[in-house]
Amino acid sequence: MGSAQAHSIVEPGRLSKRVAVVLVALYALFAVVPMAWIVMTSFKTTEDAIAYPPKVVFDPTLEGYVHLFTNRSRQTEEYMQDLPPAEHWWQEIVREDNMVITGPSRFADRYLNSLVIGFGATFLSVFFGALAAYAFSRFKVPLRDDLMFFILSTRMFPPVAIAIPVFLMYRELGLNDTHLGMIILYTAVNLSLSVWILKGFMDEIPREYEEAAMVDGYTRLQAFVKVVLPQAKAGIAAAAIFCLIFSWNEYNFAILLTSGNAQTAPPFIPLIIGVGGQDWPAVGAAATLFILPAVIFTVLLRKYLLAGITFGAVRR
Amino acid sequence: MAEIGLSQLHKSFDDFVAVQNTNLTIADGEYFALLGPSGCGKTTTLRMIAGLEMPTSGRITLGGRDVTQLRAGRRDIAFVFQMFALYPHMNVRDNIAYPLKSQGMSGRAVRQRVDEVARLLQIEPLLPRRISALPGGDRQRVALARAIVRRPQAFLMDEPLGTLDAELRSLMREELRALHDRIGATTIYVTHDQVEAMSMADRIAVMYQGVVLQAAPPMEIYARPATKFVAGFVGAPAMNFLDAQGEIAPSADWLRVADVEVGMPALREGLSGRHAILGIRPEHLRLTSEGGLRGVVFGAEYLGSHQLLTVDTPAGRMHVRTSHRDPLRIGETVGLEIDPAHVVLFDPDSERALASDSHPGGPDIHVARKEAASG
Ligand SMILES: Nc1ncnc2c1ncn2[C@@H]1O[C@H](COP(=O)(O)OP(=O)(O)OP(=O)(O)O)[C@@H](O)[C@H]1O
Ligand SMILES: [Mg+2]
Repeated sequence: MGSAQAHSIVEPGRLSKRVAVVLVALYALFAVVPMAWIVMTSFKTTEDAIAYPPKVVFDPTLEGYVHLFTNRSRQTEEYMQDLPPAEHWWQEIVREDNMVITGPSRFADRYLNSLVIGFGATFLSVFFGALAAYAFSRFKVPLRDDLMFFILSTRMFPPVAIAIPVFLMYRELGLNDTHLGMIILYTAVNLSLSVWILKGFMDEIPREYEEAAMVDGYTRLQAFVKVVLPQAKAGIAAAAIFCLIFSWNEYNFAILLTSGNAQTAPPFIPLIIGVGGQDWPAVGAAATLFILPAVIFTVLLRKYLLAGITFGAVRR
Repeated sequence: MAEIGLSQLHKSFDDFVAVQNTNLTIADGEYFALLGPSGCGKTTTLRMIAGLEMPTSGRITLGGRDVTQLRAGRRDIAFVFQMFALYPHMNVRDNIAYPLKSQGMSGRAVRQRVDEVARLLQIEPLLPRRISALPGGDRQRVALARAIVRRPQAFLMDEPLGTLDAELRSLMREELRALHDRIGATTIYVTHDQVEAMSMADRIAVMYQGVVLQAAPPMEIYARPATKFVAGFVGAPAMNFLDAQGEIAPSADWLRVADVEVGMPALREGLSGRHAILGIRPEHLRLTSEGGLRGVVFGAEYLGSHQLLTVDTPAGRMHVRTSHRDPLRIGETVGLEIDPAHVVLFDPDSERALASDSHPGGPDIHVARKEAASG
């Protein structure tokens, strides 16, 4: 009572705050160092990348990125001297190593595949997830609890456990190595998570909102799109992030089901190591470019993740 | 504007009957209150009229048109929800304009109409503000504005003042009634607060366990309650109920309570059983120094214009409202005289009021007994 060090029940004390800051900082360091190392490697020369002791200060170069996007062949000194002057900076970079660019690599293709499949599957997962979650949240669905459990149970085993049947099915259906096939597969895997996340959010939205819209002349679908979805945007963002991270990083199905046409970046990146010695800067460049969209996406949507759920005018 | 008709309206959720065979006609332009305790089916009834809940059976008409199968948006009714249901992702103006946009009205016409309604409700300065920044009373006005902006055939309000504090509530009561008198729209107003219903409504339907026990003007409900439940639910302090002694003849005009003879309006029907319950309101008891029902003052509240007393008598504890000037002391012995003109007699089995010279008699609905049976 009245002491200078009165404790608040809701506010953590100064000491526990400090401990928390230190722990978070340690974790951040732990998480950031490997990423930073990859990004640094991508800007090193091949020699710097394998230098021992490791170089922290170095002359940055785009060699890794040029290697990543090109196929090259090594030439003799005489051949190099007879070449006309380089037209582009990237040609100069490879000529220093007595190489010429023979054409673009397939990385850009693979990267595009990842974008199409990753975002396509994310969109569909959230789209169907929102519809299903709304139905489960608002309508009298027979066996609702059992169905919800069944949906969750599809996520209780590692997805690769069903790799063989999926592979056989896809071969019959002609979906092997197609974008559509991969989008369907990732959507199927993600849907359970998406339904569960979104149902939680939709349950929190009072049904009076859409009912007010329905009384005011809108159909249920219009009310869903114009009233429910905007209120569920935190949930949609959360579900989208989880779905994107899974489909973006997925490796096992990608390596099993895709090759020439619909191959995504994850199975392609390891192949870079083998091309012409251990080209770590090119691998670093691939990894850096690969984590970029996921990082941007998460940073853009993080405010919805953190904002929590504040249902403005609702009084309960 | 239109008349609303409910015929044989029935709603059950699985085995649970929420609304039972309800018949009501709400006249064009009427301010109609649906009054009853929590869980009696008021909201369910309102939601069926709005089209948000499908009746299990029965019909709903609006201005003579059968709307039972029509989806909510096609009924041209406005609904004011208890929690207002204003969209937090829109500002005040957009909230009010939202119903008009469903009609495909032009932007200018929408602006004009919103401004007009905002002026009517004196909320013009609020138009650009965020919903979350508004206090309860203003949210209430915005919700009303959103309801009237479309000029619907009828208004349905589900405890629209329920979340406001007492002071604001009485202010909004007057505003609501004044607004109704200006636009004259048919209104059904749901509340569990008898003061709200009594002070605002043209007519009140008292509901209990899914059944409308009585639909009548406030004075009628108060003076001639159809059942014991209605009598006890409306009025504060509540009506006194006393057990009458002995057998009562079919046309008796007196009975006996705790060995005291009490006059009453002559009965016009016989009793189903041998007993009867006498109902008398606290203000229809007179204090006497001698005779009457003798009792001891148990509690006394002196309120200036009148006093509220509780008196322990051989017939039970009774509430008395008296204009007696001098404050009474606790423990004092008083006599209570029952005003025969205001006695209402109830059948103890069906709990309906018995027909007499001053009462048409209540309907035969066995609601209270159902409750007793189910514990
Ligand atoms: N969707 C539903 N499923 C099952 N039971 C319901 C449903 N809606 C309402 N009920 C039940 O029907 C009964 C009447 O409910 P209703 O909401 O109409 O009561 P009310 O008179 O509006 O009460 P309150 O004053 O508490 O709002 C309640 O017992 C409620 O539990
Ligand atoms: Mg209710």
